[in-house]
Amino acid sequence: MTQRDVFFNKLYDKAFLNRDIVLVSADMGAPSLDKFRKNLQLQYIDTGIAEQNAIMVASGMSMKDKIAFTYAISPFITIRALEQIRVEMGMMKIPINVIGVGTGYSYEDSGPTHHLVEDISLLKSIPNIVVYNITDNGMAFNIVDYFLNKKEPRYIRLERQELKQIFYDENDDFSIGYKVLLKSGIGKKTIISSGYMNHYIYDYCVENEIGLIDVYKYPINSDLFDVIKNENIVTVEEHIINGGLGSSILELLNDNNFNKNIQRIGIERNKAFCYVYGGREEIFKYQGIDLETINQIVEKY
Amino acid sequence: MKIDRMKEKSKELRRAVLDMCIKAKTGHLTSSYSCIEIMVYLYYSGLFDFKTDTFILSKAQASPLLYAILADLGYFDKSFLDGFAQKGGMFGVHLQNTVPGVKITAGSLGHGFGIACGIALGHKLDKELPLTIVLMGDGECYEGSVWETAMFASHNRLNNLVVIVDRNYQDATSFTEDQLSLEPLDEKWKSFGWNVEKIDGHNFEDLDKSLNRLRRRKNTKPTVIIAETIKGNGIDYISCKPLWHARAPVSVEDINICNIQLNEE
Repeated sequence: MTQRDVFFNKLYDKAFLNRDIVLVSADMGAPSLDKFRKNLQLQYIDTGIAEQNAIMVASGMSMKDKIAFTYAISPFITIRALEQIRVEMGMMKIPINVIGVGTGYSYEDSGPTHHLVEDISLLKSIPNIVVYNITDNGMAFNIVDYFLNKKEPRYIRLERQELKQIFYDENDDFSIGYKVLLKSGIGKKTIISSGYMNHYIYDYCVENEIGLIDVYKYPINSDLFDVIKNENIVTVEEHIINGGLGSSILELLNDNNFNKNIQRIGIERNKAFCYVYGGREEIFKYQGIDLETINQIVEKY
Repeated sequence: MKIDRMKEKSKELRRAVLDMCIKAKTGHLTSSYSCIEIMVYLYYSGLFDFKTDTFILSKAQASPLLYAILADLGYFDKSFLDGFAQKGGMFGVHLQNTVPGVKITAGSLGHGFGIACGIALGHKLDKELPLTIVLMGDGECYEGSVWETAMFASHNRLNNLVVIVDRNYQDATSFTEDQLSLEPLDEKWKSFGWNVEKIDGHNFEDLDKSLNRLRRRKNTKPTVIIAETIKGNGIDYISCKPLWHARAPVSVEDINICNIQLNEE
């Protein structure tokens, strides 16, 4: 099952018991949403392909004490509606939940309009907005309760493709924002990563005794500094190298007056919009974030 | 409040807004003047209670007018008006939701309408009766998102949503029909599934006829009232002159002329 279906199935169960939960979709479906649309008609709202209006309507409903989720393909619900996000969620602090599906290159062959590798940089620069990059189905399921209990303007990034590995369960505290998935072997390096990339490099890290830390929330929890200060750090992200995970880790180190080089692996800014077809792996190779390239860089570093 | 008294109130508020803008040397004076009678009717006719009904000023550049009204109604002390858009002031040229009685932060156009639509939908889902009333500028109707919202509101049968368009035929730099035609504006709204009425936005009898029956909801459509107005109405010297957009009289000469013409009104 995909993250999206896990998330929406859980949300459906919650919405079934709480009619204040509403879902504002901008012409997006999912198998898990069919029952939402059918059985909770009053709580399922569709704006058509109109993301700006989706954010505004959800915001107005939130002012009327609804718990509003909006949902569309990631680049459109974020960048198309960025100014609505900035004013309604950033300035007015209206606590709606913006769900984008299909981040990174997960809409593989759909081309650069449907890829999204700049959103973390953009969204985390808007004051008051909290960004969550959902890691796995365990998180997708359990974080719904956390979201319903904590009001904040937030952007939720969901992976489109099915991911098997499970790192999170009901015992995780999602206010922390990061988790050590693998401890590094003695003298070995530690990779800090996020979302899909954790799954992509997990086996590689296990085989090579490389540590793996998942960061799923921005702004990054400053407590992470103590966890990583003694590690040899490589950051790996399916996002442009400017303003994303690697940049945030550099800022964290610098803000703690810690003069340390790290190795950042991500997408070169001017290569990011690409017309490469044949699957995510082909795009990864083109962008230099495939396993072989990651291994070469980690070995050399 | 009776119509005669509302006319007096409009005069008072023209004075208050002019004083605020002169003192601040800034503020959208002409944009405020075109919608004074509309806003006076909304706040003083006694037909609406904005503790249950919602008013959203989507054309946020008319903020000095809303602030003057809210101070007059006791939402905060009138002395705060003296600090408009100045150092240490509580509020500035556009709208902020931190001010008592103000629902939204705005300045970027189109947002208030979309938010109002969400509020109206919320009332509808909860089977509640209050009205949501939005005041928009005609220049605001250039924003694409306005038509996303317009389409959505009629499809969802939001007959508890009312838009008043302050149709002063001007935007920031020009006259709308010279720059990019908005006409036929009434047909546009009609084709998006709205009840459309056209009135003289400075005439209280017109406003009364139109706004008095809003709660009756003759059908399931939302209602738009296109209120024909004059930008800067009340001071000939600044009315219908694009150069007076977003501007306050600053020179002694300009201030004198504005004061004299306002008193003559």
